Amino acid sequence: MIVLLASYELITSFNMIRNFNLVKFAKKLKTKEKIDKIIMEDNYDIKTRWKMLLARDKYQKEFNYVFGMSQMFFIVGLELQKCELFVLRSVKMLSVLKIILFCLLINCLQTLPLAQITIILLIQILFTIYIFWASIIRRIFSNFFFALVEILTELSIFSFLLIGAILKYIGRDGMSQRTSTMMQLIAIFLVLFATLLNLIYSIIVLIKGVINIRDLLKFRKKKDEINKKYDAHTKSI
Amino acid sequence: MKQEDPATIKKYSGKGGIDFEGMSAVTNTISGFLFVVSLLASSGALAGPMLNMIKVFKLVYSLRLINVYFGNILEAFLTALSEGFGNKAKASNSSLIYFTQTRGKLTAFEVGVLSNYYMNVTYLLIFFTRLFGMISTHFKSKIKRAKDLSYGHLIIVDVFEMFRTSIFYSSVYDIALYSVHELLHHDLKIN
Repeated sequence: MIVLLASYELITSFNMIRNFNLVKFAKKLKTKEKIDKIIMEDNYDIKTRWKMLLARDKYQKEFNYVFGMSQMFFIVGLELQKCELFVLRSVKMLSVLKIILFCLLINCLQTLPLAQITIILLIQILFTIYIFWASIIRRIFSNFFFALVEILTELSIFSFLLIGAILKYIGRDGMSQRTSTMMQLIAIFLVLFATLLNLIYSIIVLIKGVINIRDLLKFRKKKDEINKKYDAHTKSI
Repeated sequence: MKQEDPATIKKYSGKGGIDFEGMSAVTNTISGFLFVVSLLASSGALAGPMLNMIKVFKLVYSLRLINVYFGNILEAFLTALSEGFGNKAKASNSSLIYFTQTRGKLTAFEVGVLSNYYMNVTYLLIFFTRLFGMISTHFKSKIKRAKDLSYGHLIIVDVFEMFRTSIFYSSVYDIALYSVHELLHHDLKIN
């Protein structure tokens, strides 16, 4: 039952990312930035600011809470305008699915270690190529740091699997101790470095989430203030 | 109830002997960092906001169960990593009923078959995730229908979604590994 519930959650998130009209969302997001600026500026007249408030509410209803916070984890750090293709905007969702697939392969192929390591390594190679393509050729990440985190994470896992595969193919004594030690230390360094970068990345996502809530509180206060001023303005006319 | 003998474990596991000699310098260097990371990772739902970090850590933690030998340093690193998680995946006497010959390294790392022995909190959290999902959907529809948008509703949805996403994506890897493992390796024979 738990497996079914978890599958349901995953399918729901997957469908939301697949069906979401990202181009329209990105366009509206730009308009929202202008709207927010007008609402916050005291230089504009009260009628314009009140109208902008209504436009902002419309945006919130139409987009923000259809897409939802759960998807924020999957689109944070992405350059939305460049993610028209589903395979590009679902980059983080696919990495979650990859881990789940690895867990299944680890469970199912214990008696076929050669097939197990080969299949897992092949999937990892394909995924690493995909990450390189998305980050370097399609440039979907909003800055260099986000791209570096993804690339380094995949490279560290790849190096880890590569050592296991090489030792399986050529045998424990097939490689010199010096080469083997060097490769293992590189893999450990990459894993630790990737973990550290991902820790920073997670903190950025967390801060973005908190900022989002702070913005909502700020706009709630502003909305009350503008509504009061607008009411007073209409009464005076 | 079956108990594994060391020869069987060695036969069906790629782990083999681990040479820890000379490894103390390496493990000492990384132990400090590992301690902090494993503390975060083992705190389960509380570590949810550290979603991306958990993803990497859980994957590397699962990779130790691939039935191949990774070399003495990496094996020592993986062992240190699994110790960092505490006894979460350790078998208890009542969870040792399993198909010996299909488990390979799962036996070597003493991964118990009955996942509810160490996943009970995670299972409960998944139910909460769905419950929060239903509450969130309710408020989302309220937001869509409202004539005058309430910012209170927006905040509720935001907090709920952030909370339930954190819980779900920090637990889903364990479910994929241990629950499926229970389905595949549980011995149904009555002795």
